[in-house]
Amino acid sequence: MRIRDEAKEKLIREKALEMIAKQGFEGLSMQKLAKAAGVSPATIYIYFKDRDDLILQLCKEEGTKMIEATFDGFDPEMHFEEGLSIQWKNRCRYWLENPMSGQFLEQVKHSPPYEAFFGQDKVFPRLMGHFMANAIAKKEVIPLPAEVYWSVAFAPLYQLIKFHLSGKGLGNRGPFVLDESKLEMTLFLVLKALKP
Amino acid sequence: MNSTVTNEVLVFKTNIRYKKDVSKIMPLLESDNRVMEWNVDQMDVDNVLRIASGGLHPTEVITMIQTAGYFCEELPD
Repeated sequence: MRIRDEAKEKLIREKALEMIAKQGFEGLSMQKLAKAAGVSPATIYIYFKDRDDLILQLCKEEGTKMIEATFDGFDPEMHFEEGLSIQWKNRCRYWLENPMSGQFLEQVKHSPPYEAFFGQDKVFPRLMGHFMANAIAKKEVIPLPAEVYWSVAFAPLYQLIKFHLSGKGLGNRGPFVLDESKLEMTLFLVLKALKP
Repeated sequence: MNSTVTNEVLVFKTNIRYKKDVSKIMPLLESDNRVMEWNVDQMDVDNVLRIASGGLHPTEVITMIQTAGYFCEELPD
């Protein structure tokens, strides 16, 4: 009988997350992971059936964390402006506090294990669907195809986060820091574009 | 979930690479009632054979897999 060691399992998860975040799926082999976590490959297989199982469990854990962070303090009945503002702050905080988790989710996006998790998630589509239907009915936002809406409502935020995480602005302008005033400035413009 | 003790997990490095290889060892493992659960990690370079068992000895597994014509070596803890 082998005893499960939760600290060891956590370390294995962290290292695997880091490897995939930095190098994608190809960057993860059980041998390399074992070395990085300071355990034997055999130990990894006590906690995870195989490589696919490990990746699926990471998707579940990180996906759940991301969804919880996104909807913290959010109510789908909120006015569109308030709801979007909360989402921006939540998504921004999540990325800045968990850059590795964010990069992991970006790397695995649209992969089979990612789809397996997000395909069964009911929270995200329910809350966002309700929020959008409500805001359109109350004429707080113009109706748009989903991809167009997302590209205006959220893509600017993620671009700013990218600048911030890289630490560099455009060209030779030196370092870029995403502070509250820059976030508010951009959100203001986004809201202006989406209002009827 | 999170039970503190699991069935004994045995882990082997093999060259059981493809589906046809897995189906060749399947009857051997399935006919041993000490094998509770097994799988081969075909996504990893070591093609790890993982067996959750009650009372199976690693050398028995090695003999079984070698008899079927495959390489099999226990991964040390």
